[in-house]
Amino acid sequence: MTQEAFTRNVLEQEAMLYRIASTLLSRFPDRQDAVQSAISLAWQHHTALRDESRFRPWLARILVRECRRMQKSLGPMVLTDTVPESNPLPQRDEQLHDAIALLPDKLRITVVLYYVEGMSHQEISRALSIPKGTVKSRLNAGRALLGRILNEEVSE
Amino acid sequence: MKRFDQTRFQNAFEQPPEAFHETVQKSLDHIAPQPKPVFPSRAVLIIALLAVCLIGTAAAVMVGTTLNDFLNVDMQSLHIPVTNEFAVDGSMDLLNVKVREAASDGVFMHLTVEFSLKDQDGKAMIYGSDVHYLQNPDNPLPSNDVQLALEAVQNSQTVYWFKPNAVTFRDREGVLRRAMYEDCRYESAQTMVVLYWLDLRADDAFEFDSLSAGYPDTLTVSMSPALYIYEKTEKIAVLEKLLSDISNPGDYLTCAEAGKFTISAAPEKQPSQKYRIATFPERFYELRVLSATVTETPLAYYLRLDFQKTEDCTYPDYSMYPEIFDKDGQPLSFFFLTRSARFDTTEPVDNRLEAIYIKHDDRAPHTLCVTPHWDEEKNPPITVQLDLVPAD
Repeated sequence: MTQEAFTRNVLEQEAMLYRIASTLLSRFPDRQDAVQSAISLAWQHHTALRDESRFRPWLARILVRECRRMQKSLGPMVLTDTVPESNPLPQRDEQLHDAIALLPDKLRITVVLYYVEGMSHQEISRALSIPKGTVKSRLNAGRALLGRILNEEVSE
Repeated sequence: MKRFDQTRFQNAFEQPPEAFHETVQKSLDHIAPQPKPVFPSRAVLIIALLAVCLIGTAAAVMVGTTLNDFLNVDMQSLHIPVTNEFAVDGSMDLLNVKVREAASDGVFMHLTVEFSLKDQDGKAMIYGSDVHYLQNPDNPLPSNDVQLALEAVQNSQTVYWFKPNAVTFRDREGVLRRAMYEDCRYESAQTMVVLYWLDLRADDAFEFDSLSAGYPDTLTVSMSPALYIYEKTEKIAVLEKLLSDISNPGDYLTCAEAGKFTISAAPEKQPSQKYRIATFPERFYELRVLSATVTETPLAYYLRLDFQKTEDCTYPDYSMYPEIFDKDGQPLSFFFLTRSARFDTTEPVDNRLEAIYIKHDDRAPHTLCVTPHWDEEKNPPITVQLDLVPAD
């Protein structure tokens, strides 16, 4: 993969990078650091990626790992958004956003990779280094929990 | 409750702020161009050798999904011979069955088999749980090959649900075993390729060298693929029954054809090195560690941990998930071997955890991190450095 192709591929995945980092890290500067580090690592190891069509899950995997490394050094995640004030949040589905934020960490990232990023079970399995069966069970658990949370919200 | 669809989920996240875009751009600006690799003389020799091999086996050269694609590795660069010639016994009216490639690292034999419809006009087949995508349009898009197959299925008059069925063979000690089919890829809606893993070890043995004397010259693999008629109007209830009781699809769908094949292949012995891990904790949570070994073959590293429940164990079952990192702290992707991701204290046969890391980028396992599932607050992850010492 040429440097131009790498740059193009990364820019195409910018929104995904942001969503994954937001899912796992609460502070904006931490998200920036994790993404910066993931891009650098991805470039460093890009020759290991033999199939360019798998760039997206491959990059996602690297970023998930970087976020987890940061989580370990930062301690438990407090679920608050700290995006710079100069960048007010565009409109988003606050109800679903809050429901996703309430999920346990492992369910949350699995749900986001599946429902938001559209990754297959196999791709998530590789991204998170967990068996496909675990991906399915986490999705089931995440779905059930989200359903319960959203039902309560809707009923109000 | 509102329906879960991808657009709604994406709307739960804001667009990346400008400061984030600047971070990405800055990171990209700082990546240095990498010099083109200079091939050492050894690599030149290997390439020359490969060129000779390719000329000599031109007839065996194939296109399409290969073992290298499935395993993300170049078997030839690892000096693992890939076989393309097999004796196949059996035939079906609707389905062509063709064995494409087989290669063995001495522990597993990896086999790719192509299944294709003989009459492809207006017909398509779909595999396993992919039918879910037809019934649940809210699901996110599947991978490209599945997506292409699904589009063709939508436009086909006759759709088959394909079931590879259990593939059986006998291991080195003559024990009848069942293969894992690890992956399946569509080359079209009429052709799919399945990767099988045949575990050549005897049931409870991890002693490759001592068993090599009994290594079989020829492995006979039995397979019984089947095609079922899938009506695109099938109700969700039927589909759910089918997927939850996949062993008896004939109870829910009409069997169009079931076949039987035997394939003979020759797994080749490969050198291997067994290691013990110099310092390993005696306990993982409420489990006693009986042994921890790593075996290296030309293709992969195999990690095996054996556990025993301690007397004070309060949990009915455990699920533990290992992560493996290289010396730079980068994660290595690996596969679990059969049923090994879960330690179940109610099932003595499952008291081990096995993972395989394919050597596709020359990085060796260095650190193991085991995380318990569901109860992380009480049981934080355990990290162990894998100092490998050659076993006697």
